[in-house]
Amino acid sequence: MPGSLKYLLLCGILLLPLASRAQPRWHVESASITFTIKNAGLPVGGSFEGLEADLRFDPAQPERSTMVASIDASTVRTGIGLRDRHLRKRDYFDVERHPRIRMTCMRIEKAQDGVFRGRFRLQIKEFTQEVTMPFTFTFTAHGRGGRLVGDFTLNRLDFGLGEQSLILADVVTVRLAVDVKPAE
Amino acid sequence: MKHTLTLLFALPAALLLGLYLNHPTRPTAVEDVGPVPDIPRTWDSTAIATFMLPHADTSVTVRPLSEQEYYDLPERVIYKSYSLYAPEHMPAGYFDSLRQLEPEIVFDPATLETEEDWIRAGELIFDAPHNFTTIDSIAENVLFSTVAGDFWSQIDMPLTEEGVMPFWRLVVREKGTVEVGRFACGMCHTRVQDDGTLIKGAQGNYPFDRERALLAPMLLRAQQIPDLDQSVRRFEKLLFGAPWIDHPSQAWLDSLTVEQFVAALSAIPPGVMARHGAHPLHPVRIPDLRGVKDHRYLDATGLMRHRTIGDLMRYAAFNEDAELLTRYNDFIPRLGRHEGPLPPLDALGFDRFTDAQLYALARYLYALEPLPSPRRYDDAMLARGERVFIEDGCVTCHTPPLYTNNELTPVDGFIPPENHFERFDLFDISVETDPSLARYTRRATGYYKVPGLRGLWYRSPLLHDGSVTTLDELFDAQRLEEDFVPSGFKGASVEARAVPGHPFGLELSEEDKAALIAYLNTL
Repeated sequence: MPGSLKYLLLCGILLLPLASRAQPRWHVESASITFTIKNAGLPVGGSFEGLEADLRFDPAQPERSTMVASIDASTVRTGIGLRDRHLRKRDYFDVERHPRIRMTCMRIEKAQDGVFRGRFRLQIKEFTQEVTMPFTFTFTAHGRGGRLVGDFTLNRLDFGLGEQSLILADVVTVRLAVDVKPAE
Repeated sequence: MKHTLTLLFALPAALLLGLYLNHPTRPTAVEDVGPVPDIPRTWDSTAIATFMLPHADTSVTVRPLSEQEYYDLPERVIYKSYSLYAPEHMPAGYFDSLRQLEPEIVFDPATLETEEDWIRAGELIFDAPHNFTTIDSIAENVLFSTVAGDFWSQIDMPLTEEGVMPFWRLVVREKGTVEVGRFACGMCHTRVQDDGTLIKGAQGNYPFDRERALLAPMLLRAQQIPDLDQSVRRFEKLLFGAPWIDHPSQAWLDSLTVEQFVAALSAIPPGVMARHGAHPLHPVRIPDLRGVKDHRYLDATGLMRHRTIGDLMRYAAFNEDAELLTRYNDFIPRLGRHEGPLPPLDALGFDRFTDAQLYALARYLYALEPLPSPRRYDDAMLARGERVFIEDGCVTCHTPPLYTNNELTPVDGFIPPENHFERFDLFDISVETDPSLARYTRRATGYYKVPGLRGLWYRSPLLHDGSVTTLDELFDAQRLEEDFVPSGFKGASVEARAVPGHPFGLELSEEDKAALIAYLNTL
């Protein structure tokens, strides 16, 4: 084998782990998923729990990131028990047939330092729509953790969440605030 | 005596027009009516087939009268009627003056040209009784004498400021004969406020059941009926029997005694009623008819749909005798167990309104709007109350501008069949109120409808069974406790009980609660 070829092979062997190094994987430590909608002109809020996520994200190479997340639809809470029960029924989240809400990253781009823009496929019930979520990612705990905060809007009618209403707005604003730490 | 007994006991059941209504196809403009309106056929078999919700108990097949059977019923003639005064307010010689009058037929559709004509005529129908008892000496002594026990004061009969008892009317159908007319729509759907103001179409406060409790046994004994218990039992089964339902309330009817009858009916406050098809143990609050044109379902249990003005006419007809002739499997309330064709119904005392009369009645009811509230509060309090109304979720079911979403909520223990979600307007959450009326009576659908809140200021008692009488009580968390003493319907021999369900507004601060109540009182 020519020396140059050996050199290239050695570099390849040495660099291969770097080249094929996976995106940093993050473990969700805590998450706050909240939403707001206008009801009769006043904002009404709620939340979900039970975030499960496979987050592979490198702020330096966001375009190579993958994110797949889901939440337990039955955890919807608005502060009013009967309303929450109604939201779990077929008119809204139909949690019996669709227990989880899923969000899958299509592409993430960097807007500026610490600020990103992601396109996601959001699936609620049998409906899937593309949503765009600008978000920030901030390192915490001296770089040993991170915090992702983002907002996006959706039209609830696109997901079969209720019907047209004189008082309930169509647009819902969703906020994600997720604290992560590097996965082991 | 016989007539008096008939008056009070062996009657075709009460006419109760509990009406909630909303449909975009109703005629609203004068130009829609025209001189000869297109009057729907009341007992149209196609409409009747889809008019009623299925019974909550799927073991029963409900078959209303056929079109032929209904139209074979004799038609009513509407005579002019006159006010009935309380004895102490009766003008001297009043009855004698009425005996000098010629009978006067007051409804003639050929004379009606404008919408206003039809509405005025409809009010005559609203006021028109269809059960008559001659004022003879016995009736006068029992009913009108200030000496013989003064039964009106015993049951706290409301009187207008003129001293009129508006729930009955005096009728002259034959010169020289004055009759007490009962069971007009207005008997149940007229409210006399504390200041003597009359509100037609409002949640009526005629003490119907207390009157029955007081008079029926007295008259049975006077007639020397050998077995009073059996006589009471027979009639109450006519009104409330649902033999296919396996529930203690039906067994209660089978063993009913006069004492139990008196106790049960005495416990029902004005504004609530043991109407036919309901039950004395599960009475229903009388609805406010004002605004009925905007309500999509009729009856507290949403038993009938209100798609067109024809449906409102059907509802009136159903509650004007036709319900007692409805087949529930092999049970017909008026006849008991019965197979085969009906006997001649006119011989049983049944008759019906004409389609034109019902149309006029419906036009009148459509014209009744909730009255503006006279209550006054400062703007800040009302704004706060409105905010609470929204934030606490009230607005979801009681959606402006009607303050109802016109939907049905399933009661505890009832699971809506799959096809109900397509056929009916369901809000698929139980508000956890007592389910008995909606599950164990002839009017059971498995649902309660969401009532409108306009006109709340002149309504009481509240909730479908009239358990509470004030909004303060409705929003009192203590009412969920077993030792709570409801101010409305409690039940016979019940001192205290929980008033379950509708768990909204129970955790408000006193200031928020007061603001919410103020806001609701202005609707």
